Amino acid sequence: MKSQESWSAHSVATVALEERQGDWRADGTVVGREQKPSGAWRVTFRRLRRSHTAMFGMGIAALVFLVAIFADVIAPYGYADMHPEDMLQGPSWQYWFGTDQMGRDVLSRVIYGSRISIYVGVVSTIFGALMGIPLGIIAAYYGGVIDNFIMRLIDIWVAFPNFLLALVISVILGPSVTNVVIALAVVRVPTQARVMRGTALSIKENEYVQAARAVGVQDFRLLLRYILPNCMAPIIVLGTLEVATAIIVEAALSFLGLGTQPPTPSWGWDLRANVVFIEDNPWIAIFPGLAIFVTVLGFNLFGDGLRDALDPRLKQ
Amino acid sequence: MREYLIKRLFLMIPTFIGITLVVYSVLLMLPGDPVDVLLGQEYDEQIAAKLRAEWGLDDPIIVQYGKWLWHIVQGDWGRSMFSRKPVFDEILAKLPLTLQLIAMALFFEIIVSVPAGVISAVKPYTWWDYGASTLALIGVSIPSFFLGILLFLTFGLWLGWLPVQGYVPLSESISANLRHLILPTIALGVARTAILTRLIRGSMLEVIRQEYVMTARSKGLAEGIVINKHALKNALIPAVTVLGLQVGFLVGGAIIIEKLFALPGIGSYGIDAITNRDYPQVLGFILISALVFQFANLCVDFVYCFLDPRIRYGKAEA
Repeated sequence: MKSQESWSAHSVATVALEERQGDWRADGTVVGREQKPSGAWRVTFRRLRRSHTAMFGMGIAALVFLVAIFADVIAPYGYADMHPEDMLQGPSWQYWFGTDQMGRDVLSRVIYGSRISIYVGVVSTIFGALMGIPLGIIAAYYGGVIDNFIMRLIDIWVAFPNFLLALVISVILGPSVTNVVIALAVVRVPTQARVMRGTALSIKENEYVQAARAVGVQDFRLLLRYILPNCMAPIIVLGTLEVATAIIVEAALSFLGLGTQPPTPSWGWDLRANVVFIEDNPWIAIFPGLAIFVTVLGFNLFGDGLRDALDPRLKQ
Repeated sequence: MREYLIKRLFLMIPTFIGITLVVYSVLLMLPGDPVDVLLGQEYDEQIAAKLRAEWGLDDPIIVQYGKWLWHIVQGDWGRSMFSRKPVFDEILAKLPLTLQLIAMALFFEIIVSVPAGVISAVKPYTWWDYGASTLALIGVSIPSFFLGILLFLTFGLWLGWLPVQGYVPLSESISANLRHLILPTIALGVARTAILTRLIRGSMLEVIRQEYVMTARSKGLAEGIVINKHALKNALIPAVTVLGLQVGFLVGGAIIIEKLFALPGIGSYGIDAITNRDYPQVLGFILISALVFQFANLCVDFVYCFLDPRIRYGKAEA
């Protein structure tokens, strides 16, 4: 593994060299006679490494992932362990983030709460993409009536304000983590579909796609192997930013009591439960909120950095 | 222009039928109908059957929906299943507060993001720019309800400058009304202000590099006039689109902020309706939210025409 310094020392020359192998398109993919997708990703990653804010964001996101995975190991107490003798205490050496009204360690609950946020954020984004990408790519590829039908459907979809739609769906299905994931995935579909359609529309006009069609490549294979891979850059950027949004919406639903239900620890629910004691114990209410804020900040920084790294107009 | 308006208005009809049909059928497929909710676990089947017949819950869904839609068109939005008050009147009474909150949040967004975005673009890579960008990033990442709690704690509880709960109607006292709404407005508006600031910075940076701006400068016009009269108007076009979409976010965001600050608006009304499974109220709430959202989008399209005379709708779609 090379150090940060040696990367930046030779990066200008290599970036210039590698970029000569193809033309950067507006969506950040490389197409050209000597097309090398893996090369494009390497260049992107190199650019990403040069952005301190993006690396910082990636660091936060990675840290939250690790905390979520190793919550059992890191958390000083169980999330449901009650210490009745230590109710509503401020931060101390024993309880770093204080204790709530049932004498539970707020730090441990914040640590376990990361699981729900990461799970909901990532899984709902993936499901949203799994529904949105096919809709977008099919609309773009076939055009005409199919395109019109899909896009009108999407128009109805977005006639609701997003949060309202998520709220209504999770209420209809009943409050639970799985239902929040479903609600958020459904809400995310239109954005994914629209971005995918826009990108695929430009990709499908490329000569290599027409060449593939001319030699008799089947539609399905064409979509999957020729068009889709070249549409991934904007989808990945969008996905990163969507994780941030999904985390906020999950917390908001739980804050209203319509998302994750106790005893499962969730930042939104804890914020709701602890806010009652905010006047005398501000810290215990502030920590779950800070956890949401820092995690979302991390994903936003990373997503922004990724977008800049994939944007050829910002070539240095 | 008029053709476009008519076309747009007609396009709203299928959208509404789609929305209401989907929500209505899903709501009716819920386990546990309102009779169960009203009567609790154990009840007399005869009373239940009578109530179901009275409320039309025995009819096929499409018939129930058709009846409901027909009444909606006539301005009869049904009665709350529990309070028995007409939903339309309830919503009308609560709408002004929510609209005021949304309007104030939009106003806040504009008065903060336009100067911040312009300064960042005019003095790029200075401390002004970095400061505004950092604040914008924080603004995007902080959940509105958490910001609301922080504001509530700082200005309401610790400093005691502003009231934290309740509401005084505008008609009773303008100053008391505004004092109650300042914190909710900021909590609701900050995230969108941040997005708008970044957007205005970006589009302003592009516009001030264009030749006509250079021409204006070379004519010897004062920098303030060049920026404010020549560049800003064009830089604001993308911002207007986003501003329109934001009304949708604000309608959604108002739900949680109203609940947090105990404001008796449409948002609190909707949450209570959802919790009680009061179908007419829930549908009325969804309908009014979608209406406000659609109306905002319509307004945006018209503002567009004024900002950019090149846009002529309905003609050049090729």
